[in-house]
Amino acid sequence: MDISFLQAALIGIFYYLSWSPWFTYVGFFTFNRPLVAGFITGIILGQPLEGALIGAGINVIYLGFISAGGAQMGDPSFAGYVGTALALVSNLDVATAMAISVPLGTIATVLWIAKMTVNSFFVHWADKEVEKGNVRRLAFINVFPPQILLFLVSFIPATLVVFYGPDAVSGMLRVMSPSVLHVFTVIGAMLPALGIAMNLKLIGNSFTMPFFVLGVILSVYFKQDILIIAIMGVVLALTVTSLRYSGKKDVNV
Amino acid sequence: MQTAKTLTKNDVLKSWFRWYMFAQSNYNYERMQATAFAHSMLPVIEKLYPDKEDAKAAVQRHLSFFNTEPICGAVIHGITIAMEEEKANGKPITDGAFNGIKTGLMGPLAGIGDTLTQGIITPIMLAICIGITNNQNLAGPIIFLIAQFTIMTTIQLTMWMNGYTYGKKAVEQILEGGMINKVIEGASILGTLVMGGLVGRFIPLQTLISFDVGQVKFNLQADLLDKLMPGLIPLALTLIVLSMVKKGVSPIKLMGILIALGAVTGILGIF
Repeated sequence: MDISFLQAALIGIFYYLSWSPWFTYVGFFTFNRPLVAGFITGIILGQPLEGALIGAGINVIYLGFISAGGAQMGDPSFAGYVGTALALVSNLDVATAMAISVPLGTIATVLWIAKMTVNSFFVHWADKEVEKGNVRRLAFINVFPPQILLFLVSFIPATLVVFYGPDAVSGMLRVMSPSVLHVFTVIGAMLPALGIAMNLKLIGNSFTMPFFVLGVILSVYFKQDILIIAIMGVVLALTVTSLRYSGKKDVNV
Repeated sequence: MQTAKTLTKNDVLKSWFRWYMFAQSNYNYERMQATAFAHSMLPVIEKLYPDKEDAKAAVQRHLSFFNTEPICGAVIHGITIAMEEEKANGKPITDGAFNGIKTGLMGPLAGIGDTLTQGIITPIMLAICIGITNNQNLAGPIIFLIAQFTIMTTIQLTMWMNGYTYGKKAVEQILEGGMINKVIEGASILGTLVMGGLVGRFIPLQTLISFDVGQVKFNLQADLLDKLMPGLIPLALTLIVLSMVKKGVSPIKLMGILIALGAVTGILGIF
């Protein structure tokens, strides 16, 4: 499959938008996630389902992604948009797509650090304008200069990698034997352990971990869908919390 | 004789909408969300302080360092608006009081907020919608979009309005009431179960090791591990990674370790 410059640029624009305020702050919880990124990239490249499946795979690696105070473990959005695009154009399977997306997401952290650093200058600009009494200028400074900067540091690299990357990827694949591709599949099967573990660090404790083992058994042994497992989880959560918290009210009173 | 300055619901909503959009627009290392906080206060400040110098002083006090989780932290903005309204009507509230409330609350609310939004709601919604997508169903990403926008917007708006209406009491209810613990505990049970469900789908590791025992071929996966517990390898791998995460090994280092481990075991034919 070939990719036109227009398609590459559209993917670059959506990558920018996913970090921008234009989808509201909730954009960070939606358009920024590889599941949605893969879906949108798939639509742009005419393969929405394939894109969504690749995005879903990449997203498991970043399931425990938490951005707190500007420190983070990579850029899931870059891995999602760019990784899906490279995978669709080069015809990669989901596991290989996951393996190549991780380095992309890690390198892209540089863009985030650059943005957070340069943005500090705009704060001083805002200080000066407010000091002069131009209070309304603050709205402009909080929105436009940082967004122009963000557009430059996000749109340009993403578009270029999406447009020129497939040649490098397909060149790499041509020299690779089936056994090397098998290694990619193994790597792709191991990386989700990180995303799941990162999330368990937050919500897993001696009380909840048995439910994790139960979830593994339900999916591997009983081969249940996530949706069914989630419904069972809601029932369990309601039962367990109402048992644990019943009667506690009397103690408090 | 001065008439009372009151804010309408519309003023409070206008202010909320600016935060809803631009909370992280100018996120930076120096003062984090400072310009976004002040930006969101502009509609309120302009209404309450017709005097230019008063308005300038109000904007300046909100340009100080501020960093919280934008969804749950919105209760702080609600409280701040209520305080500004009182100050405009003559109550002697100092800049230090504003700063005290803001910096005192932003930490705890960032903790609760990050746990709830990034640690619980988003991963659970993702896990469910990734599961739906994996059944070759495009409803996955679409349901995810609709659900996340509905949930996050509702929480943020509720926080904001409660902060404005109940002031500091709103935070006491959140921080001290048993409700939040119950919600986090219930969601953690649901979350861990669903995380376990993802293991089967996304860590399909099966060992290829086999021995010849006499004339019979002994396949380690089919003849032993599947009989003991299918999914033992993915489960063990996740628990090992978890223990390393808990020991403080950085995620980026762990990515490197997993890539190396996958390469070595793949080449050796273990997987």
